[in-house]
Amino acid sequence: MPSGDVLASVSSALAVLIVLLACVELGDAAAAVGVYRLIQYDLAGAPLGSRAAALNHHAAALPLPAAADLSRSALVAPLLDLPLSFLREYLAEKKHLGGLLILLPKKISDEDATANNESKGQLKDSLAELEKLLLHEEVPYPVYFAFQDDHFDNLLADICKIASSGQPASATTGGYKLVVSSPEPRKVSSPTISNIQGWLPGLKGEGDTEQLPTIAIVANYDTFGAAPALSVGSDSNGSGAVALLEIARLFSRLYSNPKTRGKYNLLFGLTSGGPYNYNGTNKWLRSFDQRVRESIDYAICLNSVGSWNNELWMHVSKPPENPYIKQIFEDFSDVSKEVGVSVGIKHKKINVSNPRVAWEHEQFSRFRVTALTLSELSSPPEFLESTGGLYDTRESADAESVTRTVRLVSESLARHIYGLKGRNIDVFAENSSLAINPHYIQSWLDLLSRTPRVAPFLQKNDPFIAALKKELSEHTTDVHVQSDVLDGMFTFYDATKATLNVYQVASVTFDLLFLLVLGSYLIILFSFLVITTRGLDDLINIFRRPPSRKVKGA
Amino acid sequence: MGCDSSSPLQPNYQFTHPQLSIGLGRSDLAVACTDAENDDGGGAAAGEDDEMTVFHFLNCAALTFGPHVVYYSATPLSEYDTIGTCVKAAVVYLGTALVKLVCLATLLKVPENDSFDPYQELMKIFIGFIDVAGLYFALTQLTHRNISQNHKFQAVGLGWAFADSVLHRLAPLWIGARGLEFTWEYIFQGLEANANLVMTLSLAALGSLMWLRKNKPRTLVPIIYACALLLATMPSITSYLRRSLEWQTPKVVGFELFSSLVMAFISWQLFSACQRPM
Repeated sequence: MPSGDVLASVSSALAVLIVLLACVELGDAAAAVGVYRLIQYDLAGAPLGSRAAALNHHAAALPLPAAADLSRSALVAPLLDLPLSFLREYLAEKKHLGGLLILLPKKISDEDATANNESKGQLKDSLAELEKLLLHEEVPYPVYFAFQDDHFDNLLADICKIASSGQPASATTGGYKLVVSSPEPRKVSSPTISNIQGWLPGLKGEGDTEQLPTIAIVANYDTFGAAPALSVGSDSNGSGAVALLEIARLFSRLYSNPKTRGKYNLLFGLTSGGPYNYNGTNKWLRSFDQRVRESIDYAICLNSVGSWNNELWMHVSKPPENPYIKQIFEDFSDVSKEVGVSVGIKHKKINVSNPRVAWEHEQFSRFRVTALTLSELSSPPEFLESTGGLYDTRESADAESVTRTVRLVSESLARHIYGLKGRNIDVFAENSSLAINPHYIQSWLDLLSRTPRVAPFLQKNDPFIAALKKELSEHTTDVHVQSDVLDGMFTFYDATKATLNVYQVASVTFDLLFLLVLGSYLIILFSFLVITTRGLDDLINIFRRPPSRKVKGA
Repeated sequence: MGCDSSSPLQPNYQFTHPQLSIGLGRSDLAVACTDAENDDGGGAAAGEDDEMTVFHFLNCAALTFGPHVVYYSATPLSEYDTIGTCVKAAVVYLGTALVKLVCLATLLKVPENDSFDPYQELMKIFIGFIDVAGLYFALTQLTHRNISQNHKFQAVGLGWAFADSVLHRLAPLWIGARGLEFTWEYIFQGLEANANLVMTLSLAALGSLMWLRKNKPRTLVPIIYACALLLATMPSITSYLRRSLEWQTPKVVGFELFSSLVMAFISWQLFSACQRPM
């Protein structure tokens, strides 16, 4: 029957419509902003960092009204306006916040660099302090970082205006709601650290039966910071990794021709797991055959070489009187004098019972391989410090420093390998085919400054690791990626990035008021229509109807 | 998990509700920091806020559809049980809407830019006359039970306006008013529905005058036709105001309400003038 078909099609169309309506997502925020969460990790079982990710609270701003209850509000504060003492007090007393949104200042443009050196310094200090505070505390509420801009400025201005006027919410005012709908953060299962190595084999002479000695150049490429999605670590240790790549490139040119191949093997290692007591370097060295390890004459580790001008430090664990160390130091000093900088030597004994490994060369020393670290830092960094935090962005590293480091290291190496000591020869002279390429350094620094590289969030097959491997294989041979699991002492949780929705909400009083107005409007409309169409008597009768009906019925 | 593949160092924005800047400005809407003394959603968990937004939805729905219900129950329409006529008029409206949709789809080109194209606007006005044809059909061709002229046009107008509100305003209301974000949009939509009801009733009144009443005073006939024309082109006028003159929504809604009341008054006068025995 045709009408039955029509009915069936109509009902199916209706069903589809209902399903569609049910699936419609209510995503209609005033603004959606990308925000970056504070890292959440466990250190030997102790929970640290921000322990929650989802946020759904009203926004509050500084200065806070007296006796404000913040346990159901999300505090929005620009970095420089947030007094650390306030935060410290909150954390120490375990007071609850609904959430914390810290606004990082926009990048200071290069044009006003001179005017802002002081503010840059102040900013760096604030960021360092904040990071130190947040990294070592357990924060039970979500902490997010976002970049400050006009939208947030307006938001803060609005919030402060109401707070300062001191009035309770008026009929049409409600608030701003910050909503981050993020799933519960899960543990990163078996975080991997990937070490990338490449060889430049030396020239074995006709009669040489023994293995050639090896010189290793190592740098760790991963970072750690308060906001792992923002930890790009340009100086620590992007500068070291870039310097290593450039040195590899220069020596690969020398070694490509058998006539200029030296009698040393060169081993290049881009290690991971640096912030975690150089766990990756340890695993990497462990993976070597003992003979290969024993053939390493010495290792040069590069750490934070991107922002120094006149002084570079050579950190050693063997005493400076040791003949090998002395010789290496002299090589460096000679070249440094020519370049016009100075190299100082710092000795730090390693305590084998102390698990803290402050420099990469200490891992080599534990395997009895002579090693040193070249760094602009004069003292060993604390645990989880100088590992590429919030302030370590592209501006904190400059290509000139890296170039200077490359010149220092490669010249000294070349003179050592080719026995050019004392002769006034510049192997990597400018305007030669072996000149150091500043553009190469710049572009790699730029790339590294755009890539957050916190090791547990870099999978084995991450494209960045593949890129490093590819680049290393352009310059070296026998490139191999050694993956291992990060030391069990560390556990990391995901949910590092999210989208923050800012909603403007109306208060309940507004809704009630609206209902009141609407109700009276409808009642007035009703009365008006009854009066005009049926007369005033009818209106009155409506209210008297029940008794009059009874009378009529009877 | 939110952010797309853009660089982590560049904030990404999607502004999805430009309406926030309508006339009232965000400076009027503000926040109370003192949650302690505030009994609003400041003490709310997510669940309470969902209730609040459903409340808002119900409010706006009452504003949009309430007057139709009130009109039906307040006037003698309910006494004479004219619901059948209303339903039939609603069905005719749906059919008319379908025809208009097809015509719009086939005859109008997709505009490259937002400028005012007189040819397109003219086409839209002509297609708007299909509305009038639909009303004609509802008023004259449908068989109604014995109801007076008076009630007939009211019932047809009511059913027509109700169907129009449901079709154009229910879905956006359902989807939008339940969201967390507060906008004035749906309140304005409700006010527009009210204005639309009044205008439809006026047009139905004039329509019944034109087609159902045979003896009209000669002098009034051109006025009747002129008013009917004006009412029929009212949607085009409002869209012109909105797009070309770039009036803000409150202004447009105010204009609609005012003009609907004026037209209602004029139609009422015309109707009562025609009812006087010649």
